[in-house]
Amino acid sequence: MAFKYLLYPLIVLNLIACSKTSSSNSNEQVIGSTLESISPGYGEAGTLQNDLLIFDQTTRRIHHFNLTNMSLINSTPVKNPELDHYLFYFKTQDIVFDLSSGNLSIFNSARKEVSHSLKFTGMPVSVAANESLGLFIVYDNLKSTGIVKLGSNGEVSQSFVGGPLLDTGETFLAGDLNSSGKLVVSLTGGAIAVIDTAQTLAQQQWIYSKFTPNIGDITWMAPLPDNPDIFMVKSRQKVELINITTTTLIDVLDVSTMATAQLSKIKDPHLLMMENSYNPVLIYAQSNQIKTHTANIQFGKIMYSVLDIAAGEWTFVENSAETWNAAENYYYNNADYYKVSRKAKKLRLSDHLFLLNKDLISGAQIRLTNESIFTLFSATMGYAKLYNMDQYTEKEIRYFNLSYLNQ
Amino acid sequence: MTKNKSVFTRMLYLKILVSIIMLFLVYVDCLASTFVGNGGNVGDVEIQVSFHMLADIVNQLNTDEHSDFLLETLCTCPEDLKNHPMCEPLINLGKEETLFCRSFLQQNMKNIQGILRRSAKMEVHWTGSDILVKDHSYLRAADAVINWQNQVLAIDQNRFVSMRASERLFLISHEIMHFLNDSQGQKLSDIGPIGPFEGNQGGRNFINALAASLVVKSIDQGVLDSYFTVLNRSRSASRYWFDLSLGSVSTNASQNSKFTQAYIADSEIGFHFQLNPRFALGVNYRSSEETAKSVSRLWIKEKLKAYQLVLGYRFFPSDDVLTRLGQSHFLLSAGIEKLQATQNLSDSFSTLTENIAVISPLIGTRYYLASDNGLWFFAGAALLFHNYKYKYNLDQYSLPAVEVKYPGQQYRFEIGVSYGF
Repeated sequence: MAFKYLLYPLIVLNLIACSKTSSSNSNEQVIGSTLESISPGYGEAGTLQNDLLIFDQTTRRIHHFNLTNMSLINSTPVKNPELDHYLFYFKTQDIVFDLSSGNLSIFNSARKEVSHSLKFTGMPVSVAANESLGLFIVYDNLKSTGIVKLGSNGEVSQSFVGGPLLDTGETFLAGDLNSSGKLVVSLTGGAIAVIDTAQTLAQQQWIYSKFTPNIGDITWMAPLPDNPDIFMVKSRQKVELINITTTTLIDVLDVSTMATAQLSKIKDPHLLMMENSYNPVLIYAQSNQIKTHTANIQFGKIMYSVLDIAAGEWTFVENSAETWNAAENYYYNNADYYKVSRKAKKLRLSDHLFLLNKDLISGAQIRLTNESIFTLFSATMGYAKLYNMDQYTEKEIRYFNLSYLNQ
Repeated sequence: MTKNKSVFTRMLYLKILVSIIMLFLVYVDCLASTFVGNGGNVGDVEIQVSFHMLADIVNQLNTDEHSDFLLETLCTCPEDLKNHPMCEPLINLGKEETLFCRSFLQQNMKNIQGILRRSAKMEVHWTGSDILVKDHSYLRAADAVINWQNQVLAIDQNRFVSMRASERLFLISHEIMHFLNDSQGQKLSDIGPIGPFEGNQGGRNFINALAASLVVKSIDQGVLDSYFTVLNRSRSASRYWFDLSLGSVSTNASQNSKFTQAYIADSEIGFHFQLNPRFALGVNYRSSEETAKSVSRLWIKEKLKAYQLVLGYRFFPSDDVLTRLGQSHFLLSAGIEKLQATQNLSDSFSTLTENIAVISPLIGTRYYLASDNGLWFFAGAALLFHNYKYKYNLDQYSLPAVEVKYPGQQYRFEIGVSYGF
């Protein structure tokens, strides 16, 4: 009996000690979105994905789940399974992108590896992708950027790796890919480069145009889902909307009195700024204007944030044991950054009604959308649940690791 | 293998085993045996020891440097044995009777030696029923009777084995005396007078005195004590055996699945019954519970129960029943085992359980090493022809079934203790 009470704190300490995922990169000064070991919950144009790919820590394989009927579609072994792996998925062609240190593996629908010549030497940090154009861009911690173009059959038709230095002497700071296939990056010195990915792939060098909006160094950029020419950007003291085609500034918000708590491009791009320790402000774009929404609610640390402007819902993962610290200049959008003391919450922005206030399982891997919570338990034999927030229903699947553990 | 075929196979094994048992039950002679006291029967050791004791004391009386003194004190009891039951035939002898007894023994010591040397060819017939001898016109019960012409000694087995060593020696000595001739050249008889031993029981009293004298000398000279270890040694002639063992089964299965266990420790309790000195019928119960960690945070627990029915055959590397090696023996066995097993796979969130039951043949061997007072130590090995698998059905989650296979033979090694009685 006494032993049990001694064991509990040891378990908690172990979970805390092991709680941080390896994807602990800030999502500031990256191209695209930071990587996770779970495929994104939203596809192009913010559509919900019913496929979920996850790198399972127990079997060290990529599991592909169908969330509609909560079944395991397939499971793929990886190269160097001892490393951390990060995933991306193209639903239309059923293509899996598997990234690990210095390696990109592309698996076709038969889960056979597709050959490619893309080589990079650093640790992958973020990706930007356009499934309909077959474009996949990888950015690593050495600031290398790799571009892959897939053909209609899922084969790699073109690829290019370039360093961050343009011939004008400026280097990449942040960026993203819009739906037109333009890779828009901010440069040191405050300029913005609009890179033509098709020409870059054809000529094997950066082909771009450049302009300077005079707002200082831009450390975060996100295209608006409903208008590919408009990017929401953040510089040191301002949040702006910029049209990259007309190179004009559309709207600006002074955030010099606020501290940044979170940067997110999930569903609708948004920022979470803090006016003071307990007053978070949501900043987003709507109808080509920058909007703010003050929560007036005390929160712990927001680890993951999803904004659905059309539904008027803000869904997030809060760590109730951690408090926001203005001095902490490290923004990550990762629900698994701390795997203890987590809650999933959904706030109706119109009247601040909490539509969801659910404890998340300690130690589990989570994927959150504004409709569901997928939980992968740290169960050796395999155990996952999908909770539907709107229907209050739960589906589960177990034992999917068993056949692989038996081998 | 289809279900019908596996049922057929199991029934076939059972029929073969029952046939073998029935065949040898026909030859089971529960109590009577014509083996020449070779140790396969109850009492064989006792009778051999008795003959050896008699030979030892006779040899001592013939060859010992103190034999003159020993011979001069025949047919009397030493002071410290005056109350011994064996002194009863001697205590009340008159002076003439004592001298007659002594003189007869002194004259016939070498003859007795010769008879004992030839006794190796004597047949011992054990009987389970009363031996009746004709004494004049009536029958009386006897513990033994000898036919010196046919060299056959018939002994009541239960009575003989239940006697003390001194009583057995007395009985054998008495019967051996019947091989000696009196002064008229006639074999000594229990009936009628002889020398100073008068009356109808004179012969019996005389032979009893002769026998008692040799027994008393054996006690006095420590001959009886020298066979204490041999008499206390555990006997292979025991009919009923209880066995306890600890074993380890090498499953030969680990390469097929990470959920199998390469070695399973178990314990076994069993009972076997000697149908005759060679063949035995046994039943055993074996059980095991093992919990192992397969990969991080996955526990595999297996519980096994097995019931065996075996037929055994004993093989004695040495035939000297008076030695430890002579009692020790190999028991070769063949039979069937019904194995029931449960496997649990569990992690922190879920548990899966599967059960199996198989009936398979087995063969094995044990070496029983005799200790004392019915106790034995043994070591053995067995080959179990089990071929089974746990099949985890995961249809509920649209996943393929997971099979955990234990194919082929399993080897079991054991050490144990046994009690035979």
